[in-house]
Amino acid sequence: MDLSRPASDFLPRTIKHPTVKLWASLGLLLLALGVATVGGLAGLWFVWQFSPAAPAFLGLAFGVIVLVTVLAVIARRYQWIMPWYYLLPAILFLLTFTVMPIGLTVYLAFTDYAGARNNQFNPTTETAIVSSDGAQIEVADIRSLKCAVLHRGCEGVRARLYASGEFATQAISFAGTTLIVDPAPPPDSTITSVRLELIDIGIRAGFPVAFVEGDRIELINAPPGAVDLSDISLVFARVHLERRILSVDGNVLTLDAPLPEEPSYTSIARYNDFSVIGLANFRTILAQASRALGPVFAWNITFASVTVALNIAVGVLLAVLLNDPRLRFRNLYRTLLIIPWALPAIITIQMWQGLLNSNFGAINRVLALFDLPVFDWLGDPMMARGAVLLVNLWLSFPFMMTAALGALSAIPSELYEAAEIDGASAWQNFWGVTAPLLRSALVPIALTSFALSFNNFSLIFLLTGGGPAYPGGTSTARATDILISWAYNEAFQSQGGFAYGLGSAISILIFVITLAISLVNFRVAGALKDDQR
Amino acid sequence: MKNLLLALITALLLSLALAQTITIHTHFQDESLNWLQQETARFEAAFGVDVEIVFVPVGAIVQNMLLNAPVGQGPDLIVPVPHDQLGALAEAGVLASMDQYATAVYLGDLTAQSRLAFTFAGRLFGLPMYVEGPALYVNRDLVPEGPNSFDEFLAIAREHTTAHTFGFLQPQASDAFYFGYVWLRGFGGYVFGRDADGNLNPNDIGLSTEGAVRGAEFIQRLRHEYSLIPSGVDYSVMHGQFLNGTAAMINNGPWAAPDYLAAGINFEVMPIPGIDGGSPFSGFMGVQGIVMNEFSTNKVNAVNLAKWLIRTDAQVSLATFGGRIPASISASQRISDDPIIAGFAAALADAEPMPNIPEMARVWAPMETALSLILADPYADIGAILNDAVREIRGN
Repeated sequence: MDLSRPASDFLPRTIKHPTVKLWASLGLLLLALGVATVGGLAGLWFVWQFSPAAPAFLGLAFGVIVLVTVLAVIARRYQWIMPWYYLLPAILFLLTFTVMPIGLTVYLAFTDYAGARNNQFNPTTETAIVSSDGAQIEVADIRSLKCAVLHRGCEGVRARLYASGEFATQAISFAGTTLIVDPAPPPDSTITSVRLELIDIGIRAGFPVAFVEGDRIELINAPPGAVDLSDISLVFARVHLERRILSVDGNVLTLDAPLPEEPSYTSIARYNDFSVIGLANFRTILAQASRALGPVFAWNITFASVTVALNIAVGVLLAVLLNDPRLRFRNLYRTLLIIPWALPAIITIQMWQGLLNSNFGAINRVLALFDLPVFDWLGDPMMARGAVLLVNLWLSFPFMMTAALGALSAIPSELYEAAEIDGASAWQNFWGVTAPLLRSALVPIALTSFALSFNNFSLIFLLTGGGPAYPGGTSTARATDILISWAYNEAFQSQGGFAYGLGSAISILIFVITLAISLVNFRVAGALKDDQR
Repeated sequence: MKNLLLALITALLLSLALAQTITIHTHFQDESLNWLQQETARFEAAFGVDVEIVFVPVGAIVQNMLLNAPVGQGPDLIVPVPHDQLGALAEAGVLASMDQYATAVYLGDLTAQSRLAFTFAGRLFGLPMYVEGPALYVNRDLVPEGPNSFDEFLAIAREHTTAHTFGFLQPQASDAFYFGYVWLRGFGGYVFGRDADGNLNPNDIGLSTEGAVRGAEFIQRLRHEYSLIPSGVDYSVMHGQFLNGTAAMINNGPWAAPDYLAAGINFEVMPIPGIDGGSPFSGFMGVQGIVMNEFSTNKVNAVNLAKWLIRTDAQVSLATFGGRIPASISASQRISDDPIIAGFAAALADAEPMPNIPEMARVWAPMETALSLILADPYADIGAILNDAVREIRGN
């Protein structure tokens, strides 16, 4: 042993805590992504200077090139980061598919974003301008601008002013693609196309213009067939100007900048700007809480709890029956009972909708055949709720049965032998031996099943569409609507559809409710687990 | 590196070349699609511009357009779009106004209903192609003659309602409002009133007026008093019963005629006769037409294609091959000898085009709910239910 070396050389080296490197590497990766984004956008802007029609996905190519370069530079500087690069795809997908939608939803929930307020230009609001004076213009009829639809009227809304025209003329001669007209168009006008009456075909068609020289107009394509030379229109490029409306007073609008002298602008149209409205969406939802949010929430909780309890009960029952070694053809029964799970739910649910039809469905017809009472399965509110629970039972029991079978096979048979020696009945066998040992396997399943059933949109949507209306409800929150289908109805069916602001607010509410229930669930489950130990 | 550069340049050039093609979204299938393909082939030959046809199901057309058009991913034309979606599309700014492309001759050749259907905020936003709406299909094997009056209609319907056959069927389990509007309007109700300029007034809702209440009462009587339409009848049930020959009369539109012809049903199409010789009952009418994307980069060629597709010859061939009733007066005169088309034309002569303002989209769900409540309970307070529905439509 070489005593000249210190003792610490022979002791195991302390490894630096890995979390320090985690934050450093995350920071460097995000930095690399940021630089790559900037590089991609810069490259795209550069390409657009030369070729404005280039597709936007070229930015992605530039971004990738910059990203690879930046990653190589970082790797050379910090050699330990190479293994951390596996995080990069995960970070990218997390940012794109989780962070961005969540951020957008939260932002939109506080706005009034909808179809009529989608930040797009609205040409239906075009109004004629009567007179203009600097930054003030007078319009013919302020109601055409439809300011009432926007949150603060037209104040602060973007607008576009138009100056355009069409020039009627006649052709002296027309050969191939060359047109000579008289009267000639004004010298400094930009003509984009020429409208010609096609005599043989019977329509008035437009033809793009290659260039204009005095009274000679050159078309890009020759028109098919004969042309009426006495009825020609030259179409000018529609010049437009972007402004913002500062205030409205009667028929007079004040813009944020004065209009230029030439040319004279003849009409104005506004954009469908949406605005941040704060908590107004949430107030709307809570205002009709007694008619919509309350009953829907109550049914949602009821549905999730009852369906989980029912599914587990039936699943465990079937599993216990199938587990009996004295039962013949066990494999056949098990295969048949798995079928509801194997078939695609989207199709089977719609099949059930047909079967449950009150007059033409097979179920009621069979019941009527045996003189049994028939029910209005999908028409009566309480029966529809029962139908939803029964169809969900049919869809879910195979999974519960299989999970329970797996858990049952893990129970040692000695326990049953011991219980038999003690003289236990089948009932006591089940509650004393089977149930406590199944609990540890089934509790996580019950929790996840509750969470999934809580937002089981496809079942409600396909089977009842929200269910029959009942007096006192609204048209978006009906007898079998759960929170998520109510949100869907509000966002996409009421208010003309596309009420994304309101839908986002409802989504946030559902998130808060689901979070609260999950926390309660976990605490309850945690308490149970402690007892067992 | 060189390969990457080559690939990039090829992609750039390809996308520039594609920019000259006109893209059409259509929900046509079968014969109508064949017609569209033929006409676009002729257009390509005459004008030298390529056309690409993409199928989009009718329910997805509007969402598609609203989301994709502003970012440049939308089609140049939609051939055709139902007119009741016009308001929502126009307000969102994705439709180009067609006022500057429609000549006076063309406008004069359109029926007033189709022109109104495609006019929004005083501007023409599309070029109407064909009209459709429900009329009375009568199975001539079961009902050799008539009905010539409303009383006869009810009598024939009740006579043919037995344990295995139905006298008259109309969807009530779903789409109750679209088909039931025939009665709401016939007894004096309306959806939106028109103001002095002929524009729809969204504040004037006529669905809880006395006439509407009487119409709703009649719908209720169809189920509970006359026992003509049991619960659970939706569109597929009605369609299936007529195909089997077990329904004497149904209320359906021209889209179903090819199925019935193929099944060999001997049927005739006629309007539902009015009460005491009054005007026949007619409800909603749909007009389908061509609209152009405001964000299209190829507007001049797209308009040429739109006009090509609505010229009279094309309309006549669409009627002949696709069974569609043209919106152009001169075209419908040329094909007036087809009995099915003549029957629908008679039934739709007085029909009201569905309101095309965006507020109309708020009407469907509350009215469906109201009608289902009225049908479920024979002692329901119809006036109160309709008032609730109108309140919900107004948004209070």
